[in-house]
Amino acid sequence: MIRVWLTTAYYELVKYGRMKSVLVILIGLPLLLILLLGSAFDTDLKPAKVALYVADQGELSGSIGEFWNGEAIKPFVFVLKTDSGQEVEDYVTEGIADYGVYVPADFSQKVLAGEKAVWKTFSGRYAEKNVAADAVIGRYMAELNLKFAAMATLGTDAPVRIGNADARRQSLVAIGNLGNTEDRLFGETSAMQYYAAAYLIMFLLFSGMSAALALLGQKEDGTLRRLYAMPSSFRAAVFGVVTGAVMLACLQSLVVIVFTKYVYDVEWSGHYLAIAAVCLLTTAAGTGLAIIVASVAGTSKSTQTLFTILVTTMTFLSGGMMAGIQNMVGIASKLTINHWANISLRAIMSGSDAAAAWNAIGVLAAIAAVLSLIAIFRLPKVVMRHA
Amino acid sequence: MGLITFRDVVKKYDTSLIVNYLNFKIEEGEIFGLLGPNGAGKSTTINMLSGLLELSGGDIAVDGRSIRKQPLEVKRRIGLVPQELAIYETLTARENVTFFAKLYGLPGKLLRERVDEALRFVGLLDRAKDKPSTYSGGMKRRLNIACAIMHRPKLIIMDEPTVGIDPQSRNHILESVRELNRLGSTVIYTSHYMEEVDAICSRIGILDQGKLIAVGTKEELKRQAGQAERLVFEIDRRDEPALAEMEGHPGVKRVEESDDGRTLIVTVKDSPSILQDLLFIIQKHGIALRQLTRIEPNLESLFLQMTGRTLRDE
Ligand SMILES: Nc1ncnc2c1ncn2[C@@H]1O[C@H](COP(=O)(O)OP(=O)(O)O)[C@@H](O)[C@H]1O
Ligand SMILES: [Mg+2]
Repeated sequence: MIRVWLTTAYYELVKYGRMKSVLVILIGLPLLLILLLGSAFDTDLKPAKVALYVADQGELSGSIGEFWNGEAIKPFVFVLKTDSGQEVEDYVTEGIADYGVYVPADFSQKVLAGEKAVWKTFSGRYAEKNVAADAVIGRYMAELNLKFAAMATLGTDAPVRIGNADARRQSLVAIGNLGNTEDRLFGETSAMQYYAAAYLIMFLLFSGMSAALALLGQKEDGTLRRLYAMPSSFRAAVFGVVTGAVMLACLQSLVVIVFTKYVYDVEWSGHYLAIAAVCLLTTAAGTGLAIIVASVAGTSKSTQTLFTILVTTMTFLSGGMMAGIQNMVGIASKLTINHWANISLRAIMSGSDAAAAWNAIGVLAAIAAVLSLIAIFRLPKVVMRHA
Repeated sequence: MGLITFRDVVKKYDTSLIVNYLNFKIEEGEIFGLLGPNGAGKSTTINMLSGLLELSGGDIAVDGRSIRKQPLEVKRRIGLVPQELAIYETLTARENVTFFAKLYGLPGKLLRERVDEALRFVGLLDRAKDKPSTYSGGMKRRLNIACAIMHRPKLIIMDEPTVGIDPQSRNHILESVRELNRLGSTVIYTSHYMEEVDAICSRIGILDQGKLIAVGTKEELKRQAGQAERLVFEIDRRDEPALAEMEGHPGVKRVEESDDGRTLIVTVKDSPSILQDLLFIIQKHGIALRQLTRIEPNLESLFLQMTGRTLRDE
């Protein structure tokens, strides 16, 4: 019985190892997605390189220099000083800089004369960096214009003081990232932790499908019947097939966790046993759900379609694709497997509230148990041809 | 008592009777051919015997064990070569056979020996490291066989193992069936090819629409089809009185004549002295006999005779 189970599970793993497509999908895809995600985070964090040439020697040149050297903009732009307007343009076209700014020689003069004055800007190839630089400059211009409008109207002769450092910091932060709102969305974890966990859960649910697909495939190609004709336990063999898929999912979690830990410095916290438990429960729930779907759908193709829709929907509702969705959809998010798995993982990661973690893991375990139980009852429908 | 006993075996799907009260025995050491057109119920019968399908009625015993009561005991004695290929495309030939051997519980050293033996037997030992995806259809069929024989089962069941393969592989398979039988296995071989069954089987059951319409040794069946035996006489000239005398003989069913009258095809009933009688008539009329050919009745004609239909092209 145990021999049959382990033998089948082992050969399932060997088969997975031979299927390039499976390996690519199960291991390559998570890495790819996290890579994509990671680079999205990176652009937020890495300042845009701005090539700058200030030709203006006039009255405002002091404050312009102050602005570009100011602390407030440091998180968003990194200034590359150049020697001419032409050089600014070259930097941008050659990709040395992400964005270029040329302050014309007559800028101060025009501003003081109340004329329309602009900085000449050059957009680079990365849209998100252009947006960041535009936002920074736009902010400065808006304040400058406001000052001078006030000055012109009031006719005061007050010295030109641009902005107030605090005010600017605040407004710049509002433009540059989501600031406080973000904190609320991601709870006590960082955005990176949040998404790494959510995607891990989604991938585990998807790999729950491999057991169902393996069973359907082996029913379709007749090998399951051969197993049934053996004098050994057919049940043990079927559970072996399922076990093989679960082991693959475990391997996958390991890859995702190690990869994100060392490449993206995602802090998974030291509670690896608890994380392993969450992964296993999630896989069990996903496998159970996939077998139930397979017992209804009948063929691998329709199982794949149905299950993909289900998992994608659950991931979306639980905020796995866009943080914050879960707060908008309310109860619907709580009905997903992802929700409880995500909460479990995040609670483990933040390490702040053990009770909350165990609570969520408990709910996840209950979901996994119920789905697995139903799946066991539905299993004959999946593996037997005439059932 | 036979090795395998079918007793009132019935398979129903809803209201349609797919296998209709089968009663027969297969003796140890036989190559038993189950012959019948597509859809006759051969696979259904085989699948009930190997425990893949529930019986709707009756029972099958193998070696005195009931498939209903002791399915594992029956399965232990059987090696099933299913009609459809049932091999893993991503495992090598050796891994395929090894996997099933492990499930049969063969231990370490013996396992390796038996796996080699099975692969050598089907002529795949030198390709054992390759995956079936690189194989021809015939080689896949042979691997399909190897996966069912490595535990040296008492009974080997092959369900249409030669469907859709090249003649060379077919001959290889037919030869290996004989060899397996020589080595001590009883074989059940289903086919809708009369020639195959005729070539390798010692006893034959003819199945049609779920009914066993005839069962016996080749000779017995052919005797049943005896009316169809024909004698071809090539003679030097046409002779009306001789012809008339032949037609009048009680053992003769029909005499056909070629246009020049020098070839006579005589369809005879089963009678031990008929050839002697006919030769006597020819001699009596002073006709010279150039050549005499006997056309044996075959299973095809038996099937035709009993059902009014041919085995193939249904
Ligand atoms: N699950 C099923 N439900 C209903 N009829 C079936 C089923 N399986 C097979 N049959 C019918 O049983 C008959 C015998 O099929 P089968 O045993 O495969 O024939 P053979 O192997 O001789 O070609 C066929 O007419 C087939 O349509
Ligand atoms: Mg068949």
